[in-house]
Amino acid sequence: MKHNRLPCQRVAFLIFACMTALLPAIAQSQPADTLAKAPVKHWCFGITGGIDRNYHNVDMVYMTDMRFDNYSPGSVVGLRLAYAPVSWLSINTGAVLIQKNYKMDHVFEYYNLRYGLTTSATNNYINVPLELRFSLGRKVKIHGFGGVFGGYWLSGHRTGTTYSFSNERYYDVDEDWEFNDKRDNRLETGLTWGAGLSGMIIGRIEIGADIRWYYSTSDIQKPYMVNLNPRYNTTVAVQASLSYWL
Amino acid sequence: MNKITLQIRCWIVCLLFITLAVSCRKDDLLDVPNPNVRQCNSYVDQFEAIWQGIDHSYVLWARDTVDWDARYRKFRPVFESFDARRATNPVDSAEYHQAWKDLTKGLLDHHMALFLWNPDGKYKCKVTPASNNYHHTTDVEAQLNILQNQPGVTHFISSYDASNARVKSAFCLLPGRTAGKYIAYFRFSEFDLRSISPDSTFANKEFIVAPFKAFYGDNYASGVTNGYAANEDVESIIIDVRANPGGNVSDLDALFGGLIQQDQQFGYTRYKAGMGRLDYSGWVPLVMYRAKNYLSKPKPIVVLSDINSASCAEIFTQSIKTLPNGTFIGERTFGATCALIPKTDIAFDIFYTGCFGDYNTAPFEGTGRPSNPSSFSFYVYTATYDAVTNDYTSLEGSGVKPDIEVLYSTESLRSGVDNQLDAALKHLRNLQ
Repeated sequence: MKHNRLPCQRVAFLIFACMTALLPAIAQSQPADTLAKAPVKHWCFGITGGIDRNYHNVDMVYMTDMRFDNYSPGSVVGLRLAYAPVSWLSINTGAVLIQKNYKMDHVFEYYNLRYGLTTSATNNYINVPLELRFSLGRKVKIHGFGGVFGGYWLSGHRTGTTYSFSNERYYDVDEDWEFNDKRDNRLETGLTWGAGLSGMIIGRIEIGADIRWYYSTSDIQKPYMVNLNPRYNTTVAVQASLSYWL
Repeated sequence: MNKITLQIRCWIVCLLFITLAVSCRKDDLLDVPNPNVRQCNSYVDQFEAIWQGIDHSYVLWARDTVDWDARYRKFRPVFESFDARRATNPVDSAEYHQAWKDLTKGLLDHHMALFLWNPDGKYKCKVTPASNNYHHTTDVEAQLNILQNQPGVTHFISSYDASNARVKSAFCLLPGRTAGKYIAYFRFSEFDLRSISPDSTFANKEFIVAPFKAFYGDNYASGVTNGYAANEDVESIIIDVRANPGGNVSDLDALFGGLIQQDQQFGYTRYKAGMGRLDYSGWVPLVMYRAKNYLSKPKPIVVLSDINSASCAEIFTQSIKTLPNGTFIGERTFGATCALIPKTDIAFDIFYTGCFGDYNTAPFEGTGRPSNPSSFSFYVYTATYDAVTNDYTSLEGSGVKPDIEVLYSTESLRSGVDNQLDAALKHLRNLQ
């Protein structure tokens, strides 16, 4: 079975890397009168991409040999849509494909020998944020933002090693996550916030970079049993964006 | 209000928003002890330990339809009342047994057995949720007597002894399709080669081993060597696991691995991997590996099983059935197909699944007494892994279905006919 990666994983990383490298140089090279044309009461659309690390928050109680390795890396890519009623405030939304991955190590000792099983889970979500963004500055703006997001768990995949009791040997696992209607809560809600830098370059084109948190407040499990510890995702993403102001 | 002031206020709102955000998650996390090391001091303690152990570690929740949370709500007050009555009107064994029986009624795991001790250690009770009183008992002695009197039977060896509770086995040759060709018949009553291995001190070892040697050969623990199974004049094979309750899965390496010419996958397994009832590991192939010594050419094999063939005997039956040259004749098997590892130190402490509790409480191993009889000791004997067939069908509870169904018949045996054996012989003698 093939690994179910996000289609634009590498593209997202390239966009992020290029933009963060170019931002300071471009901002300094622009004449002041160009930058002064800050968008007011205008719409903006663009693309965004970057890398993320996900923290899978779960308490394993006495199953202490099973440990989650945080933060697991992933990627994010998406579209940005914004409306700026005034120069220092904009309402932002869009849609991003974001990976919320985790890795679980199961390390145990048996007759003084140490064994290790691993499970690496790749989870693909689509998140739709709605944020208020505040900006300060002229040439290079500092911005902060906060808002909410809704999401949907699109797909999952897991790889690793597991143990067969019957054959008394280890096997590789490489399988798509089989969603269970009773167990899996595929709808996601949460809060998002962050801060970053942005600046106008050629004409109405703006580039920016920010660090943002996607803080999920919904359990990835449905409440299908009473004694169930919740599992939450917290994803920290570093994203770059390329936008055009109408 | 100037622009700068407004912006500062907006930033403050943002910070407040973030502060609120981090407090939106549920924080009343579980605080439950490991049921494998739990010490109980009351009926409720014992109930909580077992209920919670099954809640988090029972491997068949993906299929089980019992509402376990509802059982908690219903039965916790029952055990609380037992505690309340301890001084004035102590619970008797029948009431205690019935409470546990009702609590676990309908759980799918056909291996499951609860071994429980009351507060004083004066009595224990055993609860088997899947047991019932409508299964027939298999009259092995009658079946072997009929076998011995089959027309043309030769080389009959039987280690069957009604007084011997350990492994029993039988071997003979029966006439095949043509003169000079034979059907090799082999029967064993338990998968327990450990007790008859060369280094075991089992008293009746040689007596038990004789049919194994006749069928597989002198080195029976490594597959088929110089036994009749490999003889050129033996054209087909019957392996009889009727009334075989199972045993050690590793026995399959020799007993089944010697009959195949290449490794054979016949299903998948998985175990629990988390606190949630539906947290599972990935599926891994369930493979039978060819033994060191094996039949060089495949021969038609019939496996005879019945409703009292359980656990390892069912895995063996399903494995034979999966072979292109294999046929299962008889009746549906017991349905305990998800095997287990009984010793808690191997499975539960590592994988948090399967049997848990005080291992010494189990009557089939150890001392037969809990380490602290005055405590509410318990031992829950339950499947360690979930197993399915190649098409991900679970046979737990339903058992392996025969290719040719021939139901057990007490009347037939009484009249000197083993109808299931006859069907096997007829099938093999009519093969083209």
